[in-house]
Amino acid sequence: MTVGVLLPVAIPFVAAVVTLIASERYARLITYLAAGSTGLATAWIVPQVVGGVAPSVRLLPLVPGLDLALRVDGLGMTFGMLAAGLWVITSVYCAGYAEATHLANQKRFFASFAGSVGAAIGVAFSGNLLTFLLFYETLTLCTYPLVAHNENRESIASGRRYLLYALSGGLAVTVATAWSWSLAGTLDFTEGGFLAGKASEPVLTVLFALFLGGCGVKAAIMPVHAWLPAAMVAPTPVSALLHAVAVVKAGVFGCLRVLGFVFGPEALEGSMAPMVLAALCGTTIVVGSVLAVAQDHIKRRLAYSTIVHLSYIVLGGALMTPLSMTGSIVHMVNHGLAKITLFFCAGSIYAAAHVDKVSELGGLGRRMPWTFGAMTVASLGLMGVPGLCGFVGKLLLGRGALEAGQWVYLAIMLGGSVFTAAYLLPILKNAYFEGPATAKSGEAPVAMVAPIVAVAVLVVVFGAVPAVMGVQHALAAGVAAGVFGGNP
Amino acid sequence: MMQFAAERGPYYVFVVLMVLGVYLLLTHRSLLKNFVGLYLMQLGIVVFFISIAVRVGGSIPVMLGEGHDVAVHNPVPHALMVTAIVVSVATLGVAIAILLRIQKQQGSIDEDVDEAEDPEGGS
Amino acid sequence: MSTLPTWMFLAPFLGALLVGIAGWSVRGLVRPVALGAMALTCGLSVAALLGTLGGEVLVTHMGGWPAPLGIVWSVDRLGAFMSVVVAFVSGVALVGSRATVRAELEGRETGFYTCALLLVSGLLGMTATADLFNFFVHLEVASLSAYALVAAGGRGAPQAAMRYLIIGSLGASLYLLGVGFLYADMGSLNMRDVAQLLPETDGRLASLGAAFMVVGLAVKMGLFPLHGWMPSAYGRAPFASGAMMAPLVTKVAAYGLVRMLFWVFGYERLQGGLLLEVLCWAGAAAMVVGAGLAFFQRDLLRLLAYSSISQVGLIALGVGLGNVSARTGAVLHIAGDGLMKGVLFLVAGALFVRHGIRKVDDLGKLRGREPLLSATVVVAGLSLVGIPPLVGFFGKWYVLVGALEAGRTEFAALIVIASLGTVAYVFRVLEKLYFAPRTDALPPAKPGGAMAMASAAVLAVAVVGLGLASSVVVQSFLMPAMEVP
Repeated sequence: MTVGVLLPVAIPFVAAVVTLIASERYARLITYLAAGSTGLATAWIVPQVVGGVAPSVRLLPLVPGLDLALRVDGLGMTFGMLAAGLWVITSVYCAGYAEATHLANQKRFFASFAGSVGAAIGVAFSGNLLTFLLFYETLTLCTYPLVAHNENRESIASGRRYLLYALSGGLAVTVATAWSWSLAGTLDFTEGGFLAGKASEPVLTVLFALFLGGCGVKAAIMPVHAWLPAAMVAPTPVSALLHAVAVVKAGVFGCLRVLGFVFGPEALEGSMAPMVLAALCGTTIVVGSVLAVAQDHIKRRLAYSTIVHLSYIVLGGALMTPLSMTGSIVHMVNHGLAKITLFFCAGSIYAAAHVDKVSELGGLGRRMPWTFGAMTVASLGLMGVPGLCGFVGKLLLGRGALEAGQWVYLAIMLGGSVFTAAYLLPILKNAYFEGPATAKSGEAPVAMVAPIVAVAVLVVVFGAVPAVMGVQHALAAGVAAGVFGGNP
Repeated sequence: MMQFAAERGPYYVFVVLMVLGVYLLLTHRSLLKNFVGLYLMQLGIVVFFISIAVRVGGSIPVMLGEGHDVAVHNPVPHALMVTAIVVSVATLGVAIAILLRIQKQQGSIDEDVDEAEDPEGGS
Repeated sequence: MSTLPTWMFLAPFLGALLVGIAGWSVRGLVRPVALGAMALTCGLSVAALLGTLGGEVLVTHMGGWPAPLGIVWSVDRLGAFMSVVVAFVSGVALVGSRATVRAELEGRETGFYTCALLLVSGLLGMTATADLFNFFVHLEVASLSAYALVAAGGRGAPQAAMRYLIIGSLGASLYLLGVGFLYADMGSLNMRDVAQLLPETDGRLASLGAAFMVVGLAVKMGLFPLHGWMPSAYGRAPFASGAMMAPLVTKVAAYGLVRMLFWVFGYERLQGGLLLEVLCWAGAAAMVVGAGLAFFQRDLLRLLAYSSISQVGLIALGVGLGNVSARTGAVLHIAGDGLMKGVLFLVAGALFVRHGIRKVDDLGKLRGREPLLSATVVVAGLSLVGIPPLVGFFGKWYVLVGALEAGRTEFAALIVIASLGTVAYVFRVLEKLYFAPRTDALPPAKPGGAMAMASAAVLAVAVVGLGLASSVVVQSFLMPAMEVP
């Protein structure tokens, strides 16, 4: 079964290389093939992981005693499936977007995209910190050309800022990894962590800061979040899959991995560090929500929304209870589904009507029924309306806060939901209830609308279909149980 | 006095040569003078090596016939210094060749113009 | 007794002689003869590597004189490793220099190839010898060749070469003085002999000698703050010379430092002492300052020179820290940076020949014109930054782990700062290559540079390959190589 684990990581990278070598005409075809096969290969492993087996493979030694190793457990499966599955849908959307906006440099675009997805799946499937680091840095490098894609001054500046933030974060993780290696002699992700008792309290605290600071950059926790709104200059499919799903979720994933599989409840017992992290997340939720309301540029508003929801997820990890961690993992997926829908819609609005500001959305709702229908569904989902995907995650997170006795964070979470409504509903209001359309347009091309509808359907499926929700919950709860060893 | 010269003299010669050489090297006027300073330093080192080859009451290290229990001066440093002098001369040769090239390029070997042509970020 | 060590040094030396003869009679034979000699040298170094794989040491007693009377040559695993690196990188660089030699050194090929081969013979002599004075001789042979190679350039090159000569000879003299002190104390020049005799002395002369030797080697390495000769020397040298010299000369001097400190003086004796401490801080300063200054350079070769200063700093830090992990990282980085700089100097030469580009800002005009060269720059650049699984990451990793194991977190922090600086100058170059705005069309590329591109590609593949194989190399070869018997 080793091949089964390797394929989802290898196929995207191979596709990236092939895309670069082949003619630009084939770029989209290669992407479809790669995305399809990666999705299938990833889905293939799901039954095993759900059944409790964690397939793994050791590829090659990187350092004596440390291999490039892949190991797919519940957490990795969840993130991997999210990335691989959404790539399938996004590849169709990319094609439509590229067509509609006459995207330049398509070879570089599609190759970088494939590389980024491969790196994200690599992050998901990493079995130890060094492998994680390798794919984490690769992710930064593959996404950089996408951020700077438009090559105007804004894009280049954003690209530089992104690199600076992301590589600095990567360096922090590198130092922390080297340190952990010298302290513990192993870097394998272990349920419940492997650092307990290996170093003194101050050293563990510094390590915590380095790891969470480093991963926190990609997870856009304040104050290292500033790269994300700036990165919105990238083409919308980039913002959608990568900056709403793959890159930021890699950061969040990293935080959860470190919290549960490097440190663990035992090592963090009595430490102030998780509380500090929680406080930062709480602050991010509050400040981010306010900033989101203030944004007129649609994608920037969505970017701040992403920042807020990422902090929800990390907060769940920081609270260190089984329920909150389960909630984090569930919300990681559900937020991704809803957010990608919203970004897709933003992209189609731009492609069809050349509108990118909330204030200019007047009346478009009737002219673009599918787009805004999906947007409504996703917005309601993100607000936590029962029956749609956001509800379960938020419920678990709230219960987790209660379990940890942290009423403040429960209040913050609820407040965040209110604010979510506050910044998402006006979009819909402008679209549906403002006067006749100020911009004339029709619906976006089918190649863009079909994926939008598909992800909107997923938003519903993950909120209302017991079979799917059951599997998702089982995986997440299984991870939490492993981390906490069954202790409440 | 003679004994002092014999015992400590060489070391002082060595020191004098080194200091003179360093002085010339640091008072950075012309490349040729710098090189002369360097050469002096190398001579100083030669003197140093030779001075440690001396054995009290020793004689020339040429063995004639059998059964010599006489102390001889250590010939190894002398051999080493011959090599070192060769290296110095070779360096001198390369330096002169370079100076000739400088002269051909800019007409004189007076100032080190490298700085003037090479402002902070490269010309 | 094996004669392989001496043949490694003799092959290029005799090659230089033959090149001289060829140059005098049949001009066209100069390059083939030189390349033939290099090929032979590479073969010999590989043979040495194979011969020492299991830990055997290849020993030659010159003239049959037994140690410690005679001059002994000895190639152990570390020496064989260095020989292969030197032979391979210089061989590939020489192959890739056809176009740059034609462009800048027309009519002087004989001189160039002679000096290049003498340089290689000197470097290999340094790696193979076990005698302190013999090391000095080879050091100077290599250095003199290097001075000549630099002086052959255009405007400003002879001045830079003169500066290099003066500072370099000063360093060599200091090294020689250090050897003198050791000889005065112990009466032997054989490395192993000195190592055995050291415990019996009272250590004062030996410490003085050590200090002089280290300073001398530091000058040859270009370790901050004794690096003043490097930016001009690398910046003004002809591209062909740069490709030969830059990746190797400083690295072999660094090897010399490793050999002296660990094999002759012994780590246990030096541990916790002032010498290693100063070395660590000089290295750390070099890393940070080199990376920082590299960012501001407008000339491509000067940027590479400051990058080398930074990488040498990392190597020095690894040596200074001294524990197993750190010194392994230092040696791995010697090889790694040799490869990386080889790629970059070859690419610089190719860009000059094909487009006349010397400045970093002009790289922007290349948009999409040189995919192969740009790709190799990406590989070498990312390796410099330290992205796994490229070889540059692993050198840094081992030194980083070494610093943390030794409890010197301040050096870990400085490595991070230097890495950020490296990110800055590497991505400045990459940004220009890939994301600069499309400007007016550059005239079409002049033909040539095919060998340079192929050579750069070969070295880039080696950067990736050595990185992927680094664990195996480290575990089975380098770590045992660093164990001092």
